[in-house]
Amino acid sequence: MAPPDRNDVPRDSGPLTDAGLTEESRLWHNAARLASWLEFLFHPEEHDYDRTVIYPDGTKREEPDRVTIAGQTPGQYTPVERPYESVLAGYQPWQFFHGMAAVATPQVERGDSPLAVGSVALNNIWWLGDKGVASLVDMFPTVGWDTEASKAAFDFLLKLQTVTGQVAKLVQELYVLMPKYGVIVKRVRDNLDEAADRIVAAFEKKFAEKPESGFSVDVAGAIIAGIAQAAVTVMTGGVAVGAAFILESAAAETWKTVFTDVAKGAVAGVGKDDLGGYWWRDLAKSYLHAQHRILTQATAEIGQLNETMTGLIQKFNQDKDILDFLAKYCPQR
Amino acid sequence: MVNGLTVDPERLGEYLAEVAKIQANYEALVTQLANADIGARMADLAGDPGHSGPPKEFSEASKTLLGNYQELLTSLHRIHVGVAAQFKHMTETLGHAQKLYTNTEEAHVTMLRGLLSDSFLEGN
Repeated sequence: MAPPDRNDVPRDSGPLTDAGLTEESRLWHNAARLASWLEFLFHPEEHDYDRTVIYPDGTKREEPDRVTIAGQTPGQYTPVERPYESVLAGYQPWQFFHGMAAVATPQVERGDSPLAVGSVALNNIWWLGDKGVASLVDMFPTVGWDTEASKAAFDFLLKLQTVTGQVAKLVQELYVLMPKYGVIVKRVRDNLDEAADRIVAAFEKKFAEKPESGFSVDVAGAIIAGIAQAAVTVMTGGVAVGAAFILESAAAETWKTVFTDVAKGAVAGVGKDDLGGYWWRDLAKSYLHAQHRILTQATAEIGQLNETMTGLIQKFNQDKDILDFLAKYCPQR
Repeated sequence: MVNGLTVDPERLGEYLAEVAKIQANYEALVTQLANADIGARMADLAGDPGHSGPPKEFSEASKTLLGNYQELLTSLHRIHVGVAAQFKHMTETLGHAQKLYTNTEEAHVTMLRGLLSDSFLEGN
């Protein structure tokens, strides 16, 4: 149910577009419903309903409609309205979309994500280092070439195997980090979308039913904690990742598969929460608290991913075989 | 061994083909790593909530993670340029060796045919 004389889309979509939301956005529907309610609550001068009335002694009280008194000027009988302000005075509309602004624009799920080609490249580093070069080493003795020249060729190959093997081990750990980042962004979106839907439900209940005491609405949000540490099995094209060389033309399909596998592997269930209060301000505060909790939890998860990432950078920069190879064959430009 | 050589040029040729395949894969990988660069597309991967607070902290943490990922990708690109070059070197060297062995074998065959043919003629 939209606020009275309004629909599920705000008259001014500025707060939504400022947050990077577009009509194509997954978050748009509930964000627009919330924006319409906020517009209604922030602008009591546009309607005759809920407002915070300011009484002569300075006290402020939420009232469900305009409060008037008899005209104070002798001879004037027209009722005079008591001063009022928005039930959400002190808040700003952008605060309600601040969380969404953090996750509205990242392209993490779709096949055209900027992370897709990297995923294919990492798969191939893994496969070449773990299987490709190893197969050349295994095959070498079958050539039946046993001379001083063949020993030189074999030693050369073994050196390449050492360095590519070290890099492949490192990439095995790296492979799931960015898909996990994408899954965290997606879960934040899902949870903020759910929170927006539920706060709109609370606003509707407060307006339509005018409960006489505090109430709450249930929120079922996907659990974010644990994604960074989750053990996941990734398959690409029906085979385990790192089991074949993948062409760049298959990057979009590969990324979608990897993303789905990591999302499935990192499932930790649904968390129960609620949004509630009695006053409009309490409901708003409850929603903003939920937004805070979702983003704080997600930031902690990103922090854990980053710890793993910096550990891998350190391994790369300290591995003797890698350093020797870089010094000899890859001069800095 | 064939005709007294230390390697069968044909089997060496088959091995060379396998090395060339791996070399081609490494060259394709170097291109993929270059195309995987996310430096210019950071804005497509992390939001920009503007005001301070947990959403901003989330975006900053995301940008740090993405920046470190980019750093590692750059290092991986650099080392694989070297690996691909070494495989190219190996493919060329093995190709050269295979050609020498093939030429030697052909020279032996020609020489032996000539000798045997002469002997045959002399014997008649």
